[in-house]
Amino acid sequence: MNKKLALKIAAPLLGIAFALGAPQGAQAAPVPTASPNNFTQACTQISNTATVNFTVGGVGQTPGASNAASFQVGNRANVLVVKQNAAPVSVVPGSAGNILTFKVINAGNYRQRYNLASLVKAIGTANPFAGLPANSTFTATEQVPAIYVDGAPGAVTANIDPDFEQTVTILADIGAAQVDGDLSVHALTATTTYTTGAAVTQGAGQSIVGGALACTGNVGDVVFADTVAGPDDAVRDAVGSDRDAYKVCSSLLSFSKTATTIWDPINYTTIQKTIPGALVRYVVTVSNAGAACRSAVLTTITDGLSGNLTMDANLKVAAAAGPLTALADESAAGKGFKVLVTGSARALNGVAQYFTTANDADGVELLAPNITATLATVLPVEGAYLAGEIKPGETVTLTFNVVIN
Amino acid sequence: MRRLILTATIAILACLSVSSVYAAGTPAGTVISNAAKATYTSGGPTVTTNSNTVNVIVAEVINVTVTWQDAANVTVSPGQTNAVLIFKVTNTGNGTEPFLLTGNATVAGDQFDPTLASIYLDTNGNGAYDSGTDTLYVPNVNNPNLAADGFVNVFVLANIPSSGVLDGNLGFATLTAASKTGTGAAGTIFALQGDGGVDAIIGASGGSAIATGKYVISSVLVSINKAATVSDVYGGTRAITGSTIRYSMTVTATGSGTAVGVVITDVIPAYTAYTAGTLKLNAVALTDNKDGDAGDVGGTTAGTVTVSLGNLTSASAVQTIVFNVTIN
Amino acid sequence: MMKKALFILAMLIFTATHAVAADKSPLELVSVNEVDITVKNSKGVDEVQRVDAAKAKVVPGDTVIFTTRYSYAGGKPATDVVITNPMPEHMIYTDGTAEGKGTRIEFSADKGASYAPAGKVKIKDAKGKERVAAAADYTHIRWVFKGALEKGAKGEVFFRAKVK
Repeated sequence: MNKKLALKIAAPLLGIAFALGAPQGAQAAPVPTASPNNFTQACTQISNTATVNFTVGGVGQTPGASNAASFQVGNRANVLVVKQNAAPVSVVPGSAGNILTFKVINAGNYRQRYNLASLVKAIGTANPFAGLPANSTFTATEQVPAIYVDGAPGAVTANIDPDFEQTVTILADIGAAQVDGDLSVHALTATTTYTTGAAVTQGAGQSIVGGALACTGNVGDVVFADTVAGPDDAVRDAVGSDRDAYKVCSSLLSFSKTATTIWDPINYTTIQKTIPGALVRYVVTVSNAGAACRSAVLTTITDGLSGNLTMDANLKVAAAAGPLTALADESAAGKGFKVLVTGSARALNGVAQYFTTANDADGVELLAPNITATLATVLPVEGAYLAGEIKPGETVTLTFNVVIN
Repeated sequence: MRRLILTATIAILACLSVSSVYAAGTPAGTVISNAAKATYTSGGPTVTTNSNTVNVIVAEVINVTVTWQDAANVTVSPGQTNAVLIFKVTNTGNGTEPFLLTGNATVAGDQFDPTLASIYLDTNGNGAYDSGTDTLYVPNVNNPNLAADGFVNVFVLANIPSSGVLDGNLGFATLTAASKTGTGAAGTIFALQGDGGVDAIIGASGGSAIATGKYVISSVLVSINKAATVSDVYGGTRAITGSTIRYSMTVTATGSGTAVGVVITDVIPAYTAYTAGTLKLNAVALTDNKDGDAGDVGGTTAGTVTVSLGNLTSASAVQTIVFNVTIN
Repeated sequence: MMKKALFILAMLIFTATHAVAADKSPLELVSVNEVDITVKNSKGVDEVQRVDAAKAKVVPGDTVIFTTRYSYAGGKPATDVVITNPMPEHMIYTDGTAEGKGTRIEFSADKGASYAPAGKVKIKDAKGKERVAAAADYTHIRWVFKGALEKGAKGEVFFRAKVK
């Protein structure tokens, strides 16, 4: 049922691939596997004959021979599905067509074909690799079709001889909302069929016609030799399976904002309260976690000023005195916006930069009601840094004051 | 549940956006709420993310002013009752606040002490005391609850002593409005006592304000000087039978007010008889009969000279009344 | 059903051929290939049954028991009796499994040119260096009877080997 459906979907897409002249339009032939079993091929006749030599009365006799007792080697069906990654495939949020690569190996002794199916494992499925997270945290959306055999869409392998294999890939898209460290687990299953596509049943024989394995009469019975259960199949079910995973490699931004009333016009800095005329310091902190997989390239950070707030254009320093106009400026008059990069190898690491909030393209502009920092300007290209880039373990802190109206 | 909360937040924001600018500042309890927004890329498409939402809740500042509204000292006359002083109590804080009103008429620095009668609230808001319309203020019963920037006119009614006061004497009365939340030095904090449970901070007013209203006594002193000139029939000045005595009275008004309807009466002395036709006011003869002119003799009161001088002020000319009698 | 019928027919042909070929010597040999399979008996207990390899599902990795039964019908005792069994193609001898009552068992790793007891068989590698042959190297196995076989003597020799 599944196979039929998959084929129907695959067919028109195959056509498109050809029309575009895609080089991988056609399935490549299976290739020998790296570690062959070299099993005796199914339908091989094994014959045994014993001979005897003896003398009677010291006279050698004509040697005797036994009958040639023979039997035929049966079909040892065993399919292996083996993921080709030593670690989860690293993906970025919002990316499409990310590839998981498997090999489907005929580890038996008879030419078979395999029906393929992909499984998106539920959230919470154990990570098929060592390491964190221990369980999957999201489900990547597999494409339609999701399965490609040697680069061509399709859910059925070619006929694969014993000790031969084909490369099967699964394509999936990653949601834009996924965050660093998210894991999606996927499985590929391969179900053994005869080259006719007919299901293989344990114990039932099948004639082999033509090819290197041709033999007259019956192949003999099929033995399901997959004695080890795969992650998504059972013991002795002629099905092989393996799991692979996508792990989101992204920045891991923590983005927080605090508001602290630092001065009020009555009590100044003693138990200062958020009353009209009070100075409130906003601190916006953007950190890329040290454990993050990737840098973040910040574009803008925007904060909206409510109608009840007025920008303190001078970044006043709170003191136990008043009025507001008498307070000192942290940097200089008109430099109302502070940017500080820490944990960074940038030249300005730990050195506060001050910007005007005037609309003067210095990187921080106040266009009421929004105050916007353009990080490409504030954190320009330098050495190993892109404009606006914050690497894992780095923090950008934006500080400004507002006055309660 | 979440949707409900969101709706509530939107409602608050909507309220804020339409709120007008207050002299007293952002209303207490206003939640100034926002989140910073960042856009970035990390190997993939542009991502927009929001920080946590930070709420700044505006605390309440308690401030009040009381101003005396009368344009000038309120003129009162000795013994006047329910003389009205007009005050205006304004909530200059940023929260809604009830105020306790206290009147005081025993104030130092004046020349007399009025007696506090009552305090009325300007019910109809016309700024003038309307007896029977405006509401009697009863402390802690109907304390005015004023919104930020709100005000109420308050009428202080006092009685003026009827004696011992002189024209031009000043009598002071004060009105104090004190926040019910509390009063104290500026900066005193009443935790969680403000609007909507925010902290309340005493503002520069100390949470209380006082204003002094002034009464001025308006009285006029009418003084009479009476002189008698005797001339006997012998050309001398002996007071013998038949001698004529000329009485001359000068009436002078001094003081700040107006002596309304001043009437001078002088009883014809015993053993004398009025000489008919001798009554003069300011050298103008008056008839003896009680008629249209200012004076009469015996007409109003038997045996008495009566002269009506009308209204007299200090600006009025000295009034001179002259008449003759003959000693029997 | 058709296929099964064909299979049985083939077996009959083999049997008939053997009957004709082996009839001429007084020391008659009959080879049998068997496998042990584990089945549940009527009591539900696992029980090992030995069945004809041709009728069982023999696949790579399975062990086959190769048995040669002999019977001597000659008039005088047969002496210097040696039963030789080349290792069938695709099979690997399972070390220590050859048995035969009253025989000395020897192995060859050089296609029967020389024999030695197990563990003493020598083989030369590609560089001509000699080493002790492993069970997998054995090409032949023989049973050298220590005594003579009297008329009517019957017995069997056997070994086990695994399908490659």
